[in-house]
Amino acid sequence: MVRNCLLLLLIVGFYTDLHAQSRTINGYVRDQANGESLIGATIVDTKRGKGTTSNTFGFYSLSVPGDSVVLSYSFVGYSSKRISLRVKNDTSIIVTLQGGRLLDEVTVTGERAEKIHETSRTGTVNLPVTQIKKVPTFAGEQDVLKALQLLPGVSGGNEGSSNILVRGGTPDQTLVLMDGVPIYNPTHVYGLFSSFNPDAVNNVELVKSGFPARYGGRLSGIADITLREGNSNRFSAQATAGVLASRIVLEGPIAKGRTSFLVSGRASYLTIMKPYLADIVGSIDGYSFYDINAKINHRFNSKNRLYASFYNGGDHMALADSFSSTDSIKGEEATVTSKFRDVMEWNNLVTSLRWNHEINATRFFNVTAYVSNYNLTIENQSSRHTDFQPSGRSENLEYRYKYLSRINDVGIKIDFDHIPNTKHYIRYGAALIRHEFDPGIGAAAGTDSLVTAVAKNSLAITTEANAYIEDDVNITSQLKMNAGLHTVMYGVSGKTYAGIQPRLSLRYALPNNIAVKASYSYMQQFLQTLVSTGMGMPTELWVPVTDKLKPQNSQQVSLGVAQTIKHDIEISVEGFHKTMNNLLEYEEGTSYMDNDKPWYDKVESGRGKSYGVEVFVQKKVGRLTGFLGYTLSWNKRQFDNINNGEWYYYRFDRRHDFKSTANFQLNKHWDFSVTWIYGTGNAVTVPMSIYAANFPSPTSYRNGVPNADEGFWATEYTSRGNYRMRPYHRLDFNVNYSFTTRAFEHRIALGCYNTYNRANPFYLQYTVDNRRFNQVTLFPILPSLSYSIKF
Amino acid sequence: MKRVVFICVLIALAACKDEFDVFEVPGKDFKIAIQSFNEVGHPWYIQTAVSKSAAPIGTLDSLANAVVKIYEDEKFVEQLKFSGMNGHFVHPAIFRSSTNSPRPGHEYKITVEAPGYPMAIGTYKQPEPVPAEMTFKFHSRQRASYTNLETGESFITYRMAYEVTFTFTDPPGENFYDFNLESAATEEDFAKGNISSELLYDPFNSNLMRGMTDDSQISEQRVTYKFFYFGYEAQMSQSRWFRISLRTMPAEQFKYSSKLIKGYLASYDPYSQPVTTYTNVENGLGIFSAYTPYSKVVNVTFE
Repeated sequence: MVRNCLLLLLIVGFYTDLHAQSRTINGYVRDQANGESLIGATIVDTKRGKGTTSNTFGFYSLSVPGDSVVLSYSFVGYSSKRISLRVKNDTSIIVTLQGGRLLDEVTVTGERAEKIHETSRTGTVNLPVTQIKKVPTFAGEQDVLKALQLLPGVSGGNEGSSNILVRGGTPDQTLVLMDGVPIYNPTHVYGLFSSFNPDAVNNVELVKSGFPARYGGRLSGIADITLREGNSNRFSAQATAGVLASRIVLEGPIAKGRTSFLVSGRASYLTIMKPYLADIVGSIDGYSFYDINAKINHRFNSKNRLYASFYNGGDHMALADSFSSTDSIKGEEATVTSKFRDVMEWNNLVTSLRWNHEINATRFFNVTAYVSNYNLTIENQSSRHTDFQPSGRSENLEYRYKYLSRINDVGIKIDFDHIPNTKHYIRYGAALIRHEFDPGIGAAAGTDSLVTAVAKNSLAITTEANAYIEDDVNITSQLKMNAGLHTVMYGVSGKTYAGIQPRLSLRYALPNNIAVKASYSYMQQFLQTLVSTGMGMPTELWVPVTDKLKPQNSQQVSLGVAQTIKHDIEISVEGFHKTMNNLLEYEEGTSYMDNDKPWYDKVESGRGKSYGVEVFVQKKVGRLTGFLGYTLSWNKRQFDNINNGEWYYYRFDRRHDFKSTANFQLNKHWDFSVTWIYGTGNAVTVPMSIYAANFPSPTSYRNGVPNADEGFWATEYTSRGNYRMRPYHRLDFNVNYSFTTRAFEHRIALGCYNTYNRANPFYLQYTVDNRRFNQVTLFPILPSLSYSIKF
Repeated sequence: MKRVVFICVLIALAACKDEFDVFEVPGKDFKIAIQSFNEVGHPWYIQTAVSKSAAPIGTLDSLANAVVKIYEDEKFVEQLKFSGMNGHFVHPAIFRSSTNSPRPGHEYKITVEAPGYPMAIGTYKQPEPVPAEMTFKFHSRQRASYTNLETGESFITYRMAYEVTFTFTDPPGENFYDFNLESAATEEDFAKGNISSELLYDPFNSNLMRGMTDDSQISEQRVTYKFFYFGYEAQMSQSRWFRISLRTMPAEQFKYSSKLIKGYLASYDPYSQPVTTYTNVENGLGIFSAYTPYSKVVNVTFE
């Protein structure tokens, strides 16, 4: 496999050398204020109308004729810059752009990186961080993933969840990348908050279809989040105090112009949440979460740069209670005191080391070595103390249960960018990853003689090797294409799965800034989660494919029309059809808490399909910014031994989904944001009736009549997803007031979540004993206030 | 700006209706549920009732006034007679035949009509018996001590273990088996229907569910299944009669029974996945089917 990858890289290098002819201008595009890389900035040779964009590290390369050129550099939210120069040799230029917030007036003059009708890619949305920060959010906590949920074709599933479900996919089918490294459970508090500190984020991109070949490993979506590098010009700090959590960012140069750092941290104080969380998990003894980001980067010279990153985030929840009662045991009066304590913890730890190297004016590569670790521990301790009053003797019973789920990735990858001319932007690379899984190992111990230790699931170590090549080609001035191949080999339990995944996106430009787009993607996924409940609990287990359970795969086709109106309003209409195979679900009747057999003996393999149409309107610049989206879609599953083999609606099937968010900048002090969303209720499975039933073989007959005690009420589940919860809708708003005093920038944010106090369904609770349904609603109207200071 | 505020207030007022905690209860279209206790060689025995809401509304209708008809190979055979209500708490109505019973190789249909409900129709084909060699032999005796936790009283008994084996060749096609053991005080009690059905233990084969299995793992092979039966000497007379049966059943019954057991067990675990109900009764619930036994009666004398 490694030999094949090297051969592929050599072929690519040879091919691209053939095109290296004209003069090349290359360099970096950075923020003037803090030196941060501007990702996706547009660089255009204004005379010829040819251009390129900067990559994840702000690097760009543009071939120009060997005479005078005028280059235009622009980026959304920043003032544009024009540079005239006579090019005799290959030239390197580092350009800095001035951000809009530093301007006297709030009106931002810059244009977006690449307009929607220009790019060949379908289903890709880039959300400016400035826009994300203005989206009204739960408890005033700005949230990257929640902002992505507002896009058409994307949902979080349940109220409050930070899951990213894309076009009928499951949460595990979206790859969340933090600086190019996968992060497995990027949420806090059962998904109420995402793990990304918004002050530390530089760029956010979501891919829903037309996946470029550089991405792989998931079927439905890629959320590619790039963190900031740290202010390389001056030391600065930002602190924000909110209702539920506070966060801080410290950044600055260590050696000016060469080395900079960024450290951000966030910690919670969740006492206020107790009543709401109690609805989900019962009485809470304590809950806390935290996350820490640390990043340092060093520029050795103009061609080499090193980044070291560290992320650690975790949650700790404890439930505890005790009660006592007087009882009669074995004829004696006794006082029984029972105690229990449940602890649930999960933690993500990601460390990475990246090396950027500019090979020459047209070639750039990045090597990343990383470790990504996810740990879940559920521990239950209960004890019973019995005091026998007359005799004075006592008895103690103790019971412990521990449930562990762990995944540990160690990987190395290399990514090349090669821009030989303005017709081609070629990317190629390879990766080698070792995955280690401890899926759901349960162990029990106690003084009760019935309790025995159980540890059914065994450690699984798998190896993944992949390589890709893609080219963004301008075939004609109208026709643009992104074509690529992603190849992968995945070894597990002595078996190797291999796959070649073709990817293709096409754009044909029409007059009036209109473009017709189409794409095809074949994706494979070699690890997945087993989902036990719809609550977004972290008890979702990450498991690998096995020698018997094959990798998931999907094929998606998209067809759409995009138009840019008046240079700043983008409209797109896109239809999609996606089929998915080898999906996993727990068998009917099984529970993730069961330890009677390993996970792979408790699952069913099946298929799914989703299809629909999305409408998206976005305005990124100006006083009024925002977007609105509508999705009409269908989302189904079929398993041979679930739902009697019939197709059924997936629980997050949402026929109608409307989202809108807008921000209005009144002046340099005041801005207002509002979000309104509406979605069809989730398809849940509820008992429709009960009926008289008997076990197959009654225990006894008398005079030929079956024993009367053998009957019971059986519950009728007519089908999976047989009931729709009520529609979900919510209005949130935010009012921000910003002002400066001396060197300090202040911002006060007043917000309101669920402004009209809609009782949205979280889940339906069915109790067997009294056979009643209750709709559990999580959040009523929740006002919030936060204060932020920056210098 | 005032207009925006006004519109927001208007939306808020319009949406702030009184919400309810108890959700509207689904499942108002109730259906006739059929339970079958049938075996080749024994007259038809059917219980009927009506499903009711999973939430506490509505009352149970036992369908004592139902018209229950049996058809064999599309020909009407008999209208079953109402013979009282079953005494257990779900209280279904019992309908019986005194003469007719299912026969291997024939297709059967049941119709249940009752005012206010759509006619329920169940169909299946009676499978052929599968001959088997069956043995019942003493395995071990173990002294056991029991303490009643409530009263504190202890007593000693002997647990007798018997080994029961079934050896047979799985015929071509899809087959479904049930390994059954019944006991009676006298041989005549089998004919009178005074029988206890005993539970066989099979700790080695996870494919078996409550003594049932399909032939997906043994297709057209000659196989031997070994079970244990545990009896307690202190509770038994000096001799006892056992009937060992290898019973075949229609696919519909295997599927129904498997799901019924899974669903029953899952109902006590809040983390378990829901089990979708299976039925072979059109417009209704439950199961219409019968076993085809291949049996052997043995007498055991205790030492």
